[in-house]
Parts: sequence; structure tokens; C-alpha cells
Amino acid sequence: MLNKIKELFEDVLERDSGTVNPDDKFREYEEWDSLAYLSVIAKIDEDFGFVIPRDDFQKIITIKDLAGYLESHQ
Amino acid sequence: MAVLKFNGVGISGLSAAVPKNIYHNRTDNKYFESDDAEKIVEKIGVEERRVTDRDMCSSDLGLAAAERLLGDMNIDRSSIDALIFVSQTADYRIPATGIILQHKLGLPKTCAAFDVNLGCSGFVYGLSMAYSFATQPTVDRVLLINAETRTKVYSFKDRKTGFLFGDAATVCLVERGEIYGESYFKLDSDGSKADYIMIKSGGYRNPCTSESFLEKEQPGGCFHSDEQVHMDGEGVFEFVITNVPRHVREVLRLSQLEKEEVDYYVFHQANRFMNEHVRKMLKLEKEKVPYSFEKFGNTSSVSIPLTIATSVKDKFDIPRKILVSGFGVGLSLASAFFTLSTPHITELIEI
Repeated sequence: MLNKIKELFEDVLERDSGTVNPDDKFREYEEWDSLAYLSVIAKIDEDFGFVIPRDDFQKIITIKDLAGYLESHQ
Repeated sequence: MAVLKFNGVGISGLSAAVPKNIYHNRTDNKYFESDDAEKIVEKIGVEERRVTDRDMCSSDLGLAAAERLLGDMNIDRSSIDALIFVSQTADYRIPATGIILQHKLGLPKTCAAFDVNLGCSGFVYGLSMAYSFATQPTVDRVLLINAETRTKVYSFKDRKTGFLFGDAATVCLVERGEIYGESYFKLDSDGSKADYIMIKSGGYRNPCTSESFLEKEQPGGCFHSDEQVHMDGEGVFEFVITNVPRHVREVLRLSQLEKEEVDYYVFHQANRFMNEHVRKMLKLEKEKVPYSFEKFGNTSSVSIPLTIATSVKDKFDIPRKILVSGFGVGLSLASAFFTLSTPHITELIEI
């Protein structure tokens, strides 16, 4: 799951491979903005068939947190 | 549950009017750097939109579209027994703009006329009302007018909304006829999210003040006043992707149709990002999902009939099964299935 989320962020934010790490606070990425948020939510919906409620997403800080959240909701 | 079924009522004619003035999103918005504008346009897909000048109002667009339709179809105006005007940018707060149009169009004083204050779901809601009137044996014909001048109420300095909206009007003529077959409507609301898309000032909860017109910086580097629309785009997106695919599937079930049996799925033209996501989640072929936001932007309740009148205008030489879904401000969600049986569709009017 962690690798899938890393690839998802690299894809959506157009970052080079290997530049997304488990402990990264993704809101601190230069590319992060409201469009990036929508793109991540949309891609997770496409790939996992699950829309993360905004209240839940606001509590997710790192890439690792997001992977853990999705694992617990599979 | 607001699920409505009709039989033998349909749209016999459709017209659309837009302002002549074209606003090019990649180059005309001087409040944004060009690469910033390019990035936004790539995401939302709105290349250009039509913008009214200060003196042109929703009713002017609606009047032009209605005059053309009634003239082209040679309709006896005394046969129009109801006029429904759907807009959130009406000419006045009082009186209802629909009544002004009843007079300007020379419709009889026995014609019912009223306004409906709904946005992106407003075409489907309005059509359900038009169908309801038209089922009555004492009602011959109904005019459904959707008209918006959204560019007057959105800040061009707001990166969330400043590239999206356009101005336009459409008119549908609704009447009885065996050729139209069955139609189904599902109408929902979620007022808990009323503040997701809102003009805070200008009503009676927060009357206009000199301060309400002041432009304020909003989170995310956006600028708008309380007299302009505030939109929580993230919240709206979550609402749409959570609810719209399910809603469409529900209307298919009500209509006892398989997904493949529908000829065209015409969605409210929110923006490319949102619409493409909904299309992919429903696994619909691109050819069955026409868009018009590239040329006209998001025109709120006008966007569904405007798409039919411009993007698939020439496809109605035979009856076509149509599923429509409108979603947004309210928040409000409405979907419907109906058959478009060779309606008269006018050429796009530019005024």
C-alpha cells in the first residue's frame, strides 16, 4: 500500500520517482494546493473505489498516515 | 422521496442564446500570471466563455432565445399556459423575472409565470415542473427558461471560481405527445452544505453594507467580496463524486434501463476535472458524454440544455434516450431520464 501511495503522489504531483517518502508531510510539498488535493482524492477514488471524507483527510499528515488510513478502510 | 414519473410529455423545441463577447481564459485574465492561468485552464478545461456587458441581464438572453424558438416553430403564443424562469441571477429581487418575460413575450394573462431559485440542478428541477404542468389537460404548452449571468457574481480574482463561469440562456418548449414515452425524475437536496456555494450578503440575513462590497483576501490567495460567490470547491467535489454516480445509477434503475441503452449522458458542465471523474466512475464512453464547457464554461442551470443545443444538436434526427444530471449550489442534486423525440433545435443565438 505504501508504495502505491508513493507512486500515486509522484503521478499526481508530477514529481520524479523516489522523491516521495513515507514520513513526508505532503502539504509541505511545493506542488501542494487545492487542485493537488482534488487530484489525490479523485485518484484514490479511481484506484481504491473510496472517497476519503474531508474531515478524515485533514487528520492525515504524512504519506505513511495515508497508506495506513487506506489499509484500515479496505 | 421525490421521484416523479411522467408519460407522454416531452420537449418539442429548444433554443439557446449567449452574449457575443468572448473571454479567453488563457490570455484575458490579467489578475493571474500566464503560466498560472495555463495550469488552471488545463485542469478545468474551460478555454473560453461568454460574458455579458453591464447592461445585459438574464432576461435579455432568455427573451432572445424564446423569441427565436417561438418564431421558428410558429407557435401560437396564446397556447403557452405556463412560463418557468430558472435563475439565480434574476433581473430584480422583486418582482419575479418570469412575469416580466410573460409580458415581453406577449403571452396571455392567463399564463402562469414564476421564478425558481436554483442553480446547477435547476434545469432538471425546472423540467420536472414543466412536465407536471404539461400533464394537465387545461395546459397546452409550457416554456422553461433557464438563464444566468454568473459572471456578474463571481470574482475574476478568485482562482477557484475566476475562470469557470459563463453567461447564457436556453428555452425549452414542453408539451404532451404520445411520441415522448415515459420519463423519470429524482430530486434531492442537502441543506447542511448550504454554505459551500454562497453569496453571503445582499439578502435579509446579511443586508448590503459599504463593507460588504470590499474585496477581501480569502485562504488560498483568492480575492472576493461578500457580495460575490464564495465557493468551497473541495467540499463540492467531495459531494459530487460521492453522490452523482450513485444518483445516475438510481435513475437508470427507476427507468429500467441498462447503462448501454442510453444514447447520451448530459451532465451539468461543472468543469473538465469533475465531469471526467464522474464519467470514469460510471465507466461511460466519451462519445456518449458531450461537453460544452470548453466554449461556454459553467453556465449553472443552463449548462445541460446548452450542451444539448450546441454539442449534439444534429443527433436528433431519430428519438434519443437521454439521461441528465445537475448538481451543485444548495447543495442540490437532480437527475432524470427522458426521450428527446426529434425536437426543433435552433441555431445558437449570439446577442
